[in-house]
Amino acid sequence: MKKILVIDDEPGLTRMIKLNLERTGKFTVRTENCGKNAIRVALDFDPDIIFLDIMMPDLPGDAIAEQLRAEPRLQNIKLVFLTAIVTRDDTADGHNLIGGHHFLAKPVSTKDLLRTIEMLLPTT
Amino acid sequence: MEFDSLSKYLKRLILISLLISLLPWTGLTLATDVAAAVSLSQAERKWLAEHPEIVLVTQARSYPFEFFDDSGTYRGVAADYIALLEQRLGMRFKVLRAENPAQLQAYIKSGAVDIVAATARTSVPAQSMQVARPHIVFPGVIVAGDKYPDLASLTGKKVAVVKGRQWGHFIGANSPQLQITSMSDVATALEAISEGKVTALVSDMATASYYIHREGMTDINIVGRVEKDLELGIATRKDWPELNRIMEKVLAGISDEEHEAISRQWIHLKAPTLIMGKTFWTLLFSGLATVLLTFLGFILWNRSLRQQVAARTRNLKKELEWRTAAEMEIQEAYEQLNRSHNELKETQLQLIRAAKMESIGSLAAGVAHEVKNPLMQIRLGLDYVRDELVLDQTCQDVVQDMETAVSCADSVINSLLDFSREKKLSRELCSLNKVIEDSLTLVRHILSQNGVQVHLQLQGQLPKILLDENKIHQVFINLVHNAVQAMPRNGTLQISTYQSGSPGKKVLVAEIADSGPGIGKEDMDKIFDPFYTTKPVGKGSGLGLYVCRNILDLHGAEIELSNRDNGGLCITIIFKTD
Repeated sequence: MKKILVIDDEPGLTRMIKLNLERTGKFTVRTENCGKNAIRVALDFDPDIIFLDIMMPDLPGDAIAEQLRAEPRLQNIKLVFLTAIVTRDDTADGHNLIGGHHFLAKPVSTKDLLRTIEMLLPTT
Repeated sequence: MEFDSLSKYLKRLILISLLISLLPWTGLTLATDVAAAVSLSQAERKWLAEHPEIVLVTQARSYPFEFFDDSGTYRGVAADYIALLEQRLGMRFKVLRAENPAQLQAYIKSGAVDIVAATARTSVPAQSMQVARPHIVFPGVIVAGDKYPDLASLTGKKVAVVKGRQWGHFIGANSPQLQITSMSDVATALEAISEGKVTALVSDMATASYYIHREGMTDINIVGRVEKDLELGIATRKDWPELNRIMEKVLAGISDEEHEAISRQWIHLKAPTLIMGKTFWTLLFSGLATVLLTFLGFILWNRSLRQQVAARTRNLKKELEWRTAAEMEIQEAYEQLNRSHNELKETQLQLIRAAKMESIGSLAAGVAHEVKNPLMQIRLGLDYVRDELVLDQTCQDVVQDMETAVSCADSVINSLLDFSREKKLSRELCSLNKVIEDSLTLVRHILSQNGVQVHLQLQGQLPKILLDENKIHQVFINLVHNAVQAMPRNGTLQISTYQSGSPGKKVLVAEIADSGPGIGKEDMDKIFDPFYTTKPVGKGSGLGLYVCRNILDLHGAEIELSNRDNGGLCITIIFKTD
């Protein structure tokens, strides 16, 4: 079971992601709505992939990403930004890459999430 | 002798009777009825019969009153009256010729004279002669070369009078300020005037007129009047009162016309002609001199005016050149100002646009964050519902509609985000026609759904231009979307391209014309504003044309809207080729 951490300040959103991904039976999903808790939870959960919102009130997503990259145990974890400030066109290059980072433009569908997970964590 | 007289008298009576009888047929009237005029009494007739020889004394050289001409005929004013008297009385006087006034007086004193033809009352002795009422009356006049209307105007001047005439006494008594010079006769006096020895002559009108005419004087004329007349009457022997009465009667019978006829014969009262007088020549030369001076003055004035005009023209030319230069400077300054104004306006527009962009950017980011999260939540919720629940067809349609609504809302937010950020184009040489065709491929399902007929008129061999293909796709897709929404079902869309412009300034033009209602004039200026839409609520974000214009601005292209004459909107996009 792949472990997926979703960090977003919207509880309703993280809950819906969790429901949809776990419904597949392939993933264990943990959610966190406070940015400041992100590193601690990541260290504790040790996810395979993290979906990280950028615009969060207490700590922005890019700052969390820096902290994750700075943590040796976490620096190899796949990181996908979930953001409302890019458009689908911005990320529609096949790899959802902007400046070397993976992005998903909100509103993301379940298919988008699964496609991205499959791309980053292929089941072979 | 008596027989002869009677015979003549009878002959005259017969002739007069005959003339009178003819009058009604001739229409003429006699000036004087001779027979009636001389209505002598029996006693008078008897007296005349008893005195068949009446001696008349005349003066030989008293021109023009009485004189004898070269043939010895008795002539003159008085002579004409004597002839008239003889005619009326039917008798002839015995004429005694006096060569001068002294001889006349001697004849009178001698008692040999019965009648004096013409004399002043004071010129004959009152004890022996009786003067009848004057029948010859002429006004006293001034004769001169210049104008002297009266004696007062001759004050201090030498004035000639003829010896033995009344004028010397009259002037001496009434105008003592005049220097009187006595002359022997009128001709001598006129010559003295002509030579400038005297200024004027005072005489009677008959004498003056006669001599001026006879001597052919051209520079001397009757110029003034003296307040005294010359009066001459017939003098008769005092001891023959019958003769005096007879003369009075006959003279009284002379009509005014007869008096005038006699007067006209001897007095040449021609008005002095201007051309004959010194005054005329003086006036003529004065006039000519005036004209000449005026002409010279006019020439000088004209020359002066010409010089003034030339100087003024030079000044005006200079002023005109100065004004032209100033006008050009003003025009140049105006154009510069206009350019500056346009630049300022453009800058202002850019600032406004930038401010809009900035505000849109802030808004977009906020809206994106606040809206996209719920949208994602809804989308994931719908995913969950679709997979977890067994839905009938209606529920599936509802879910599908909700997903479409989420996509629409997402599209609006994406548009906001798209153009709140600075764009960088990725331009390559492209075929405009191909970009249009590709764009139509992307929207063909919308076109077919709405039954829109597309007419393409794409000019071949258009040069390739630098375009960001994806962005221009978006432009044409947006415009086609708008057109489809504006048109009723089964509308027509006409898309054409062509090359235009002058050498060095070639442009490619793309036109998209629909068969919709067009847009109102009031919407023209606002149609490119963000969030401004003419579509029904919920059908458009108001960002489509705004997005299009921004993309085209980045390409340096222009977009223009115009309503077609036959209805519908025509959108023209102009791409520069260089």
